[in-house]
Amino acid sequence: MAGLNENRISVDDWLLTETVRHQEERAGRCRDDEPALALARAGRRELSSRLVIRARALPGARAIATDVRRIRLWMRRGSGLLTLLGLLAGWLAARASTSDRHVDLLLASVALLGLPTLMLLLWLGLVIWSLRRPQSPSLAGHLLVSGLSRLAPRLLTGPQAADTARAGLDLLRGRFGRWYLSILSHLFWLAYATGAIVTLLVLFSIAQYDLSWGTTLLSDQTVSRMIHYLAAAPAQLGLIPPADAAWIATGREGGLVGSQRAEWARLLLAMVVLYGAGPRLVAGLLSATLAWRAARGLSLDRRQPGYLRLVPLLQPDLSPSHTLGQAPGARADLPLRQARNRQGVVVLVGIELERSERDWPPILGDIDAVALGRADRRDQRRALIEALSNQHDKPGVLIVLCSLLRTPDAGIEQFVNQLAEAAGSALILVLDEGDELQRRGGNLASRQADWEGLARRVGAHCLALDLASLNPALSESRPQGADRLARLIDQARAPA
Amino acid sequence: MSESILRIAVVGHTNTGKTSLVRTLTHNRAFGQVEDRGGTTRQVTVTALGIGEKTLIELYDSPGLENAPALLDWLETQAGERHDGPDRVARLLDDPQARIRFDHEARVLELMLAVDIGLYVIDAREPVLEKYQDELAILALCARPLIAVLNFTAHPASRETEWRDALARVGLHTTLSFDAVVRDPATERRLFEKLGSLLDRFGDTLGKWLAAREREEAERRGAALEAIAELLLDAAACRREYRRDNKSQREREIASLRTAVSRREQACVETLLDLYRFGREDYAEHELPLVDGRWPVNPLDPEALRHYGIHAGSHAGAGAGIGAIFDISTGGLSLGAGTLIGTLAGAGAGLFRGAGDQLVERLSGTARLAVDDAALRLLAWRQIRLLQQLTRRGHAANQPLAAATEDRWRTERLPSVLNRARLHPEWSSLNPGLVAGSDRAAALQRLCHFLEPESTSE
Repeated sequence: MAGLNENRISVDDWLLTETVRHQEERAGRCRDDEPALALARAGRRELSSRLVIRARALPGARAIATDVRRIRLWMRRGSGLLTLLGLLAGWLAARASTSDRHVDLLLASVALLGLPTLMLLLWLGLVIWSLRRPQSPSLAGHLLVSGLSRLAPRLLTGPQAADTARAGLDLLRGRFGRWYLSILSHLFWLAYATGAIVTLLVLFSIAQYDLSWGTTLLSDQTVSRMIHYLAAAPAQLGLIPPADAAWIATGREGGLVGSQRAEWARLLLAMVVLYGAGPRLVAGLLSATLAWRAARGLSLDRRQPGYLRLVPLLQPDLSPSHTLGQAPGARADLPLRQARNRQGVVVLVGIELERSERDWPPILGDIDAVALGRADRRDQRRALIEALSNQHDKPGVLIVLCSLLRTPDAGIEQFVNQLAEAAGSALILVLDEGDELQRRGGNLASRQADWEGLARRVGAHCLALDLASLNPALSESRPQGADRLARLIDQARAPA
Repeated sequence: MSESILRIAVVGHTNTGKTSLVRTLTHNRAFGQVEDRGGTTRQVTVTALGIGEKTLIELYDSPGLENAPALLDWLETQAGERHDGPDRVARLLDDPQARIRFDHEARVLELMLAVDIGLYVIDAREPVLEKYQDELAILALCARPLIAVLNFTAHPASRETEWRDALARVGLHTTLSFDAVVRDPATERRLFEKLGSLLDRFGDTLGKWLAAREREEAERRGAALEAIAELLLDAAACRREYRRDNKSQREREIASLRTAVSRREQACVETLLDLYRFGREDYAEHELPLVDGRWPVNPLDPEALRHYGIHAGSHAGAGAGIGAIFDISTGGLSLGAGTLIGTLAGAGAGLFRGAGDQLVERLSGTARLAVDDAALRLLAWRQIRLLQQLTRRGHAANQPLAAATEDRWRTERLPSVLNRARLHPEWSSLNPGLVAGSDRAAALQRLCHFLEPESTSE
């Protein structure tokens, strides 16, 4: 996108992105931002640039940009107004110092340069004091910011005006704002000095003023020395003749003649230029340079919640998650196994049950089943397969007692298949320990479905039972479960 | 030490929480598929961990081992060198029929040969069955270091001790309890430290990753606290006004206040969920019971007194500014008298405004609505509780978090900064047409400071 070749953020973009942040922190993230996120993720950029691109591409960015332009417009207007005010204040001060035709040089200097110099020193002091503080440096700056906080919502019209105003005020409170407000301050006082100089120039050109100096408390020598120092710089620049004692003495006596009046008027003008306008011009240029540097160094604080939440969405995937190899094919179901010897006995095998050895074999109501053993270890499994393979009278039905606490796996599936092959009988999977699974917070329905899937793949009937309910010692009447199991055994024995 | 990518395989029996572990380690709830059933992950899936755009670690999630006992039987029937594990594994991988028969196992073993270390995930609720020990025996053939990660150790049915004992018996002493649905940054750190102790050459990589993780965690926490503090300031300073004699307007303004604060709370919840990389479905909210009481300004409240004092001060400042303009206009000849008079006049105006606020409100027949203390406390507690839960929530957790319905904030009184916020309607972004000054930023910092210890104590 144009304008983001480097990772630098313009003031306008900063305001736009901060406005979006404030808005999203207050009212929730814009969820319709996938295209904006995709744009922002593309290419190699820093996070700040990605945040800016996202903000620019969001719906509603145009209205914010209009408000940002409006802020700029009002900033320009404000600067213009301040310049006018400065010129007016300078004119007022110059007029007040020259209210009659006799101008006291020292009094006029204090009137024209006293307050600006005081304010300059105050500004300098505050700048030094606030170098490590993020707030704006001056009382004027503070007042300006509070004034703007009241004005801003009235000047901006977009739907996000309050957030834009907040972003604008944040900008003014930051480093850029400090130097920008300094520029405004220097602009005002420069305009003040300019207003005063122009007024004095005009008045001294068109009317005759008598300039003199005097003192009531101080000695003449002290004041003379003071004027000597004040006049040194203008004399160096050739604006006035060298300010020696004789020349200074002419001003003490009053009654200056033609060229002497002009020389003393030039001294007053030169003092306002050099001690009023000069330092302000230098400070203004310095502030402008620092404001420009601060604008170039504008950054977005990624630790803000509104930005930090976007980091995972804006970072391009290091290497997106991807799968390796082909997915295995689904295993096929088998038809229900048929008993070769329908009249054969019912045999029982247990796999990975949590019931203790003491509870083995379980009582299956009045069903007469031969418990062959448990198959928790490899040697047990081998022994069971071997025993069933070698048995001459094949069993009619093989009941495999499984635990719903276990997740069915390929190992169990393969073993049950081998066992059923060796038995040559019909096969029933009885699923026990479902109540314990539920007690542990497991999902009984999905676990049962998984075991039923395994039963289909090994050609078995499947029945979930609470085996404790089949024990007549624990149950008063013939339990329903025993009936269901007996019916299932009959069904398994019957020809398909 | 050279920096290379550390490759970690996450292996284990089917349905032990391997994908959950990867989700929690990557803080990515969109990774893979998590269900309480076997065979959910059917292929090896790789994801990266890194800083910025630099990959430091690759995590490989694998399908569950399902048929280790049979594979062990098969391996025992094969000819060749019995003590060269990788060679025996290579023979399995070279046998097309065995690859079909032991599909999952072949994938996992191939992966193990290609990585630097394996994390063997165990469901600690399971008894120590022989098939799990068979899996460890097979994995050992790959000659890669292995860390046993005991999952679900916080469950009442956990058999952690039994497992640790069994693992020690097969020579696996590097074990770690890591509940994938209960995230604990300290445990996560321990896991990476264990990795570092087993893999010297990745010390730099792991050090960088841990430092980045800690920085990220601190940033996230700071941002979350700031989001909560922003919400509380917005809610505390939120105001609505109505005419005393207009009941329907009162009802409307109460509804407006309730809607504004509820939406603001929702925005905060979303921010917290986003920060911790969870979604809306992870939080079941309850409507905030916003009591419709009018918040009375107690004129003797220290915060109120301080507030009006400060206001008088700022008015004095404004007066001084106006006085200075007068001084300029007299060419400085008033020698600051204008500034002094302006200061005094400004201070007087400020004091009058402070004391007169309620008087004006009373005379003009208007009344003010604000969120009352009880609702504010509950609002604060709900966010703090949510933050506490999110910091400990694994990215594989499926149960949504419930919003707190009862205030159990340890602090007895509202922090003074919130009482102060009540006097600053401009601090609330919920009050239209007002923008806060720099004092809000300072208040925000103070509130964050206050919330920090609150959010760490359960």
